This record gives sequence, C-alpha cells and structure tokens, in this order.
Amino acid sequence: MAELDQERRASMLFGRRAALVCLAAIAAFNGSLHALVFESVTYSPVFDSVSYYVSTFAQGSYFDAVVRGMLESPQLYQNVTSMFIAAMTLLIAGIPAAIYERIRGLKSSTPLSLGIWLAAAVLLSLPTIVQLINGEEF
Amino acid sequence: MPSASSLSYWYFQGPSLLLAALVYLLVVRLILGPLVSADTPLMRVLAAITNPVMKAVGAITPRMVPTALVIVFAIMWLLSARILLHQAFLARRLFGLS
Repeated sequence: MAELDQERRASMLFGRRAALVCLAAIAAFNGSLHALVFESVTYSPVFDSVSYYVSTFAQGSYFDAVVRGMLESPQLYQNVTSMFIAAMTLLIAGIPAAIYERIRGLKSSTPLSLGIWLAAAVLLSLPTIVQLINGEEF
Repeated sequence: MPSASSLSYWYFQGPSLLLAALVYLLVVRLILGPLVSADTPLMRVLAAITNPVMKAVGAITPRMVPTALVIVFAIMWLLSARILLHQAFLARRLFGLS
C-alpha cells in the first residue's frame, strides 16, 4: 500500500514537472528565445511592436546608456524583448489558473490548475504557432 | 523616458516614479530576503511597503509559485505597468492632448 502511494506520488511529481517544463518551453517559444541560440528568426507577430515599446521606454535611461555606450550592442534590446514576451506569457497565462484556484478555495495548485495554466499559455502562443506552421517569419 | 521637466508632466512623472520606487524596493526585498531575518526593522518596513503589491500579484498567481518568484512576478507586472504608462503618455502627446 505504502509502495503504491509512493509510486502515485512520484508519478504526480513527474507530471507536475513535465507540465512546468512544457509551460516554460511554450513561453520561451512565444518569446522567440530560440532565436538567441540556434535560429535567428522570430515567429511572434507582436515581437516588433513590443521591441519598439521596450526600446522607447528605455531611451535615455541608465540601461540604455550602458547598452549603447559600454556594451555597444543595441542587439541586446532584441534579447530583452524576447525575455519580456516569454515572461509576460507565463504571467498572463497564470491568471485563469489563479482565479480557478481562488474560486475552488484550493490551498495548493492541482494538476487541473496546472493544465489551465498550460492551456492558457498555448492559447496565448497560438498566433506564433500558426506563423510557424505557415512558415512565415518576421 | 521623456526629457520633460518633472513639474510640467506631474501626472505622468508621479505614477512613474512611484512604480519605479516599488520596483527597486522589491529588488531589495528579493536580494535581502535570504540574507536578513524577517524580524529586523529594515525587512519589516520593506514588507509593510511592498506587501500590498505582493498581495495583489499573489491573487493572480497560481499557488504553486514560491514567494521569491512572486516577487519577480510583481517586478515584471510593475515594469509592464510603467511601459504602458509611458506609451499612454506618448500617445497623449501624439494626439496633442498634453
């Protein structure tokens, strides 16, 4: 009985970790983090507009001075944009899961709430996935 | 950021400075959290100032996310809010409303 319990717990833990890895992978893909490593194309339709918002926001700041002056690498803004989109995908996709947990009065996350988080991340990344399937890059 | 004098665009500069201050305080809380005891006056003041933000962000974050990561999430939300505020300000100027 104890062995069965341990097995069930281990499989739940594995499922939870697998869901988290999938979530991180989807967010990274939506933010075009793969472009930093092996392929310099972005499929996200919002990449350019977010890049514009981030760079205009940083203009004249210390961060901008360091990037343009010391690092001499405006390319860094593309990386910051990628990370920003990936992080915001995770954050926004977490809202429905958090609302579900509050409505059900759960004290900790369940596999279903993780599934909601994952599904929301996939939905948010759908335009990027469609662009990838169509082979249209930005 | 726009190079406007602080008084002429107070309605933009005020909230922007407030958001920036909260971001810096959250960064300090994140760094000092594992190093300094929560009972020290510094940490209590930090917690008192940043807890409203943490509670708001905690309400829209799944429960499996640990507290330290909720601080990072809060920083990201505040940065997004600053970017949105900045764009709203630029749009206002673009349409000649300022």
